[in-house]
Amino acid sequence: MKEKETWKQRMTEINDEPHCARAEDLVSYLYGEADEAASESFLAHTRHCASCRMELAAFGNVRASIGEWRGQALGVPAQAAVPASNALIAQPNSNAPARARSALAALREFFALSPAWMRAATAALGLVFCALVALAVAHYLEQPKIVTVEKSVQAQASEPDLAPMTEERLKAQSLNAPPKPEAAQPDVAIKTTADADKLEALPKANPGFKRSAARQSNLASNRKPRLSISPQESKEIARDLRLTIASNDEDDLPRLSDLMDESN
Amino acid sequence: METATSDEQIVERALSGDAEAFGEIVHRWERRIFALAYGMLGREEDARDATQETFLAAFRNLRGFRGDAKVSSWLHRIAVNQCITRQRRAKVRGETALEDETEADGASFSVPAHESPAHAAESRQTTDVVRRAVQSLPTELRQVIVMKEFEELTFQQIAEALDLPLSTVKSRLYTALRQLRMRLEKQHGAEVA
Repeated sequence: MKEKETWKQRMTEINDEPHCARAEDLVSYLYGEADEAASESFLAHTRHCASCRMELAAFGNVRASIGEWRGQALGVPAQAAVPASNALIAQPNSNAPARARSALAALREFFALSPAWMRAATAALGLVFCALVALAVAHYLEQPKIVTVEKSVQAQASEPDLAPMTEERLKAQSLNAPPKPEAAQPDVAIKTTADADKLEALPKANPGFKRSAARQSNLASNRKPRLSISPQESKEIARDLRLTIASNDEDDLPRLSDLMDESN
Repeated sequence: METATSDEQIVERALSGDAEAFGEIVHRWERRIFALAYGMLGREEDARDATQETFLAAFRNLRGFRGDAKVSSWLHRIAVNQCITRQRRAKVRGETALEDETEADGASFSVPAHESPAHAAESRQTTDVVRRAVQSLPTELRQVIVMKEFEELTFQQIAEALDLPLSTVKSRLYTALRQLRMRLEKQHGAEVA
């Protein structure tokens, strides 16, 4: 009986003996307590030590199982069952969340585990990505100029379009405003027409003024429908008034034929 | 545990007659000690009792607390001893805790609402296998794996709590993981067969 127990104990000891001398490093790495240099060294070791590689994966699964039990029993999810690098080695059925490691450490681990061609391909992809980012940044920096130009063009083009809006507002104001005495209307018409005439004359004197003058005249012409008397009518009225004044003046002034007759 | 007031300061207050100070220690550590006890004993009821006994023992021995060790290490050591004592008593009484606890504990597990009954049952079965595997480990291996997995203590903290060299903690953890792996694979093989 005693012999059997001793044999059993011996067998357990043999089973418990680590396959590799780096068992402690494996445990430190597994629980994320190895420093950066030790991690890199152990990862490099796993590339040619099948035993450590297999144990790392298997222990990750054991930890995931314990984590599940713990989560169910205590209502606390397992924080970190398998380090990120183990996920690369671990069996596909391992659903343990990866331990949070720094991006730099993860990158180093990736490079340590991957073959040379993959490293070269990653480096080339990285360069292409950087070039694309640089192009995108350059394109982004150039874009505001185009936007400014577009805006200025839009602003110039929209100014004449403002006229109908202005007209509508003026119309509304005129509807709200108290009615003006009728006698005043012809004066306004005359004045507006006179301004329009002046504006028409300006481009001839100053070619550089063409655009703004045209715009002004456009504005003036847009204002015309607001008036109750057309320009033709207002001109006729003005002419009539001048005739009246002229006829009055003629009445006051002596005629040349009369003076000649008198002198004769 | 990083806190505004350290555990040692609270213990000093308790020693100087502050009646509420020890309550703060209990509040801080009861969850962790319960987790440790649960991992060690595998039954919620036993774990609760062991947690209570741990804090009672700590309060009784408060004057014997040496300032050279951390309060956390001291509490963990008491808790581990309480668990070991309870298991010994159970063995003497001939209780087969591992066999009769399955259903009772399975019922107490919280199953997520979105989980289907079939999946929940399967998950419960899996965790039951893990629990049995952990419970069957020798005490010295079980305590390190529980302290690491359930309490997430560092190797150094475990070494301080159990008064062991750091390398011994690591080698025990390695052995515990290997034994668990073998037991789980064996169990899985039996289930598949």
